[in-house]
Amino acid sequence: MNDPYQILGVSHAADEAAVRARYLELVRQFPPDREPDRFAEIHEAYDRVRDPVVSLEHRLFDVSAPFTFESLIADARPDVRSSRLPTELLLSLARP
Amino acid sequence: MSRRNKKQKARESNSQLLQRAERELAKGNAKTALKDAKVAFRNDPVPDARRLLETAYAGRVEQLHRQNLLSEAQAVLRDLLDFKPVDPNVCERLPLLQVLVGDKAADPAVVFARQPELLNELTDKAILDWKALAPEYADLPRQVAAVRDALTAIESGEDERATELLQEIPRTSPLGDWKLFARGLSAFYQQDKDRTAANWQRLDPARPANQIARTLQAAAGDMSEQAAADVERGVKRLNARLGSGQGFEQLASLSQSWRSGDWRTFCDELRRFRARHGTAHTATLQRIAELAWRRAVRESDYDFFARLKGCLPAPELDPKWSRAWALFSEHSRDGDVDAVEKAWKAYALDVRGVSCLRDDERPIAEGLVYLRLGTKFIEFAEYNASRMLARWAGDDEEDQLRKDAAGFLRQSIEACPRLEDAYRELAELHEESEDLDKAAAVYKKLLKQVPDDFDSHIWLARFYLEQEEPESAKVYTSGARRLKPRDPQCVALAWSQQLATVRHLAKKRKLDDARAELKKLHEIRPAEIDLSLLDVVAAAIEFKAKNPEAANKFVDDALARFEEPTAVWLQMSCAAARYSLPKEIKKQFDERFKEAIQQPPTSQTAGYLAKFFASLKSNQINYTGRATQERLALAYLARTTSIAWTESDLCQVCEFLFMCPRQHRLVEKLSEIGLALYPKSPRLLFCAGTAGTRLGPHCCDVDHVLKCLRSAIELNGQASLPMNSSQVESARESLSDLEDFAERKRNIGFGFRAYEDDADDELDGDDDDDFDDDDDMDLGGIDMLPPDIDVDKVIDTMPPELKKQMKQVAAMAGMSLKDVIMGTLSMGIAEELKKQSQPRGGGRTPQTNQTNFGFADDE
Repeated sequence: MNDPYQILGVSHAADEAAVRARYLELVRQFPPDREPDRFAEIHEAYDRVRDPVVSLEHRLFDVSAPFTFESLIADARPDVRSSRLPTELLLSLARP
Repeated sequence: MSRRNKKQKARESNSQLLQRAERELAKGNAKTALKDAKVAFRNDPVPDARRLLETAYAGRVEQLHRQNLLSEAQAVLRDLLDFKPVDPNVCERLPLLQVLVGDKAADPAVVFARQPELLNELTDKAILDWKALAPEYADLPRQVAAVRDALTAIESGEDERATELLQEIPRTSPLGDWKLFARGLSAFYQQDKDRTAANWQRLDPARPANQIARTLQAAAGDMSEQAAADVERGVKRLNARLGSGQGFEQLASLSQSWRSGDWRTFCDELRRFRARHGTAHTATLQRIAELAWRRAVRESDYDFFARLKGCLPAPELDPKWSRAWALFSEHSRDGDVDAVEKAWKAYALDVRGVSCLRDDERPIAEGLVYLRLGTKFIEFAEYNASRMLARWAGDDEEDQLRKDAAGFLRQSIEACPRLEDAYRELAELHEESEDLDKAAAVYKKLLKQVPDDFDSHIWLARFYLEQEEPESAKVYTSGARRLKPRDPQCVALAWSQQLATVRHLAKKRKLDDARAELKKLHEIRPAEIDLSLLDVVAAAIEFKAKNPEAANKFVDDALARFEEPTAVWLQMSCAAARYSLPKEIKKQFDERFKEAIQQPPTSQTAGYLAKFFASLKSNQINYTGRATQERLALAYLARTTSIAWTESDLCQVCEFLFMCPRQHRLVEKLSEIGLALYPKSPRLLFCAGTAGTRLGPHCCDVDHVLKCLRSAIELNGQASLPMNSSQVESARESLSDLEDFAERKRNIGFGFRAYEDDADDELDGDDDDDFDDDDDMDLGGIDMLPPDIDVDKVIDTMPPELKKQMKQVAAMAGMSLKDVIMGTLSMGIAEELKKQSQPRGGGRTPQTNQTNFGFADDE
C-alpha cells in the first residue's frame, strides 16, 4: 500500500490534531456516498496513520526531511502578531 | 566665554563671521548661524549681514519646529517679525513659518494650496510624534486625535472601538493613509492576512505608515528577504525590542550555509549559536538536529555527521546517536553487516529508556528495531546470493545471515508480539529454506495475534492441502471465505479443498460421504472448471466402490464432452493413481491414454493437455506415471504445427511450453503460427515477444520483439482473451529493458562493453561518467563481463553438479554452455550493482496465464 501520510497529504511530522483536521477536510471533500472508493482509501490511510506501529516506524526510521529549514526558521521567528505592540514602538518603526 | 575665545572673536573679521554663519546654516546648524549672524549685523549692519540674519531667523524657526519646541519657535518668529524682514525669500517663507508654529494670524489654506505635500508631512509628524501639534487646518486636529486614539485602542485589543473612531476620517483626508494603516493593523493582529493586505496595499509608498506596515510584514515573515531589504534595520530593531527574537538573526544566517551545504561554516555558526542562545532555543536546536542528521544520512556524508555530533544535542529519540549511526551504516555503499548489527542492537537497548516514548510505545519501538535488523539481514543474504554465481562462493555466509535474520525476527516478535510484519518475514524466511512446518507454525502464531489475517488463512489452507490434510485445510479455507467470500483465491481454495475432501473420503472408503461431498462440489464449481472433471471424480468413487457399471457410465459422460478420448483417458489415469484405484484399472486407462495420444493431434486435446500439465506443474502435483505422460504429451504437442488451432488452445500450449525445458524452438514456431492466424491476440504476441527475449538481446530480432510486446500491451484492453496482470507487468519490464538496450545500441554501436568504457576512462583519466552503474543495470547484465575473466577456465573449475545444471540450462535455452556462463556471470555483476540501489526485490520469473485448472492444488 502507498504511504498513508502521502494519501492524506500530511507530513510525517504532523501531529495527531493536524492529521485529524486533514482527515475531516478530506472526508468533507470526498464523502462516502459520492466518492466511496476515495473515501475508503482515505479512511484506511487514516486508520494506518493512527496505528501506533506505523507512526512509530516513521518516527524511528524515516530519513526524509520532516520539515524544511525555512519552515524551522519561520517557526523560530518572533511572533509579532501574537501580542500587540506598544504604539510607541510601532510608530518608531517609521524611522529609516 | 573664556578670555581666549573673546580675543579670538575680536580678532575675527566681520566677513569671516558672515562666511562662518553661512556655512553653519548650510549644515543645518541654525542656532550657531543665528548667533554669528546677529554679531556680524551688530558690528556692521550692511544689507548682506541683514539678509543672512533674516535667513538664519527663518532657519532657526524651522529647526525649533522640527524639535517640537513650539514656544521657542514662536519667540524666534516674533523676533523675525519685529525685525521686519525684507529679503524676498524670507518674506515668501513667512506664512509657512507662521503655520508651522501655530500662529493663528496665518492662513493655512494659502500655504497648503501652494505646498500640498506639506499637509501630509505635518499630519504624519503629528501622528508619529504626539508632542507635535496638528496643523490648525480644517478638521485635522480632531482627526489626528482620532487616529491616535484608534491606535491606542488597537494596542489594548479594542478593535471595534478603533473602527468606530476611524469612521469619522474621510477617505480624502491627509489622515486617510493612517486610517488604512490602523484598519490593516487590526487585521494583522487578528491573523487575517487578506484583510491586512487589502488595507496595506493601498498605502502611499512615500509615507511613514507604509514603512511601518512593511516592517511588520517583514518581521512576521510575510515578505521575501529581497523585498524586505529596505526595512531590514526596522526589523532588527523590532526583534531586538522583542525578547523572543534573541538569536533569530544568527539562526536566519544559518539557512545560507544549510542551502549551500557548507558544513564547516554551518557547524561553526551552530556552535556559536548554541553557546549564546542554547537555553532560549532548546526546541529549535532539537529541530535542527532532526533535520541535520537525516540529511547527513541521506547524503551519506560521514564528515558532516561527525561534525554534527559535536555541535548539536542528540535527538530525543536517539540519545546516543545509535540510530543515526545504524542508518548511516545501512546507507553506506559497503553495507557493513557487523556495523549495522552492532548499531541497531545498541539502539534496541537505547529505546528501552527513551523518555519521549510512552511506556506502551517502547516495546513496539524495540520490536521495530529488531524487525528492521532482521529484514536488513535478509537483504544482505539475498545480496550474497546474487554474488554467489559470479564468484562460485559457498553459501555458508548466506545461510548464517538467514539464521541471524530469523533470530532477530524472533526477538522482534518477543519484544512486540503484535508486529505482523515480523511474523510474515519470519514465515517467508522459513518458506525460502523449505522449512514449511516452521513457516506454518509462524502463520498460526500470527493468526493468534491477528485472527482476521487473510493471507495467513490462505497460506495455511494451501499448506494443509499440499499435505493432503483437507480437514485441517478446511478450517483455514473457511476462515478466508469468512473474510473475503468473493475473492478468487478463496473460490479456488474452496474448490480445491472440497475436491481434496472427496478424494480423502474415497481413499478411506467412506464412499457415501464422498458422494455427498461430491454433490457439494457441483455447487461450488468455478466457471472455468470443466464438467468432465466431476464425471472423472464420480467415476473414481464408483470404481473404488467396486461398481464398474456406474463408473463406466460416468466415464461415458466425460467422453461425451470431448471430440476424442485422449483427455478423458489422461484424467482417468491420473485419478486412478491419486484415488489409489486397483492396478488393473490404472493400467487399463494408462494404456488407453498411450494409444489415444498417438492419434493425429487436435487443437482441443492439445489445449487440454497443456492446461492439465501446466496446472500440475504450477501446483507441484505428482503421481506415478506422470513424467511418462508429460513426455508423451510434449511429443504430441510437437506434432501440432500443422493443425487447425483455436486461439485459446494455442495460447494454453505456448504458455505451457514456456514452463518446460528444451521447448524453446517449438514455442517460437507455434507463436509464429499463432500470430499468422491471430495477429491481434495479445497473449500470442506476448508469447512471441517472450520467446525472443529468452534468446537474449544479442541473438533475437530486437525490433520484432519490441513490436510484439508493444502490440501485446496496446491490444490487451479490448481483447477477448487478454493477458493476465503478471503477463502485462512482465511485458512492460521486458519492453523497458529492450528499449534501453536498443537505444544504447543506436548510440554506441553493437557489441560495446560497459567494462571497456570504464577501462578506457581509467586509461585516459576521464571522469566523464557517461554510463553510470544504473545505466549498466538497465541492460539486464548483458555484455558486462569484466575483460579479465577467462570463461573457459571458469568452466574447467566449476563444481561438476553445477556444470551439469548449467548444461541443462544451456540446452533448454538453445545456447552453448559458454554463452550461458557468460550471461550468468554478467547477470551476477548486474545484480550486485542493482542491489546497491534497490533494498529488496525478487527476480523476475517466467509468467504464464495460469488459470486455476480443475486440478489446481489438488490434481
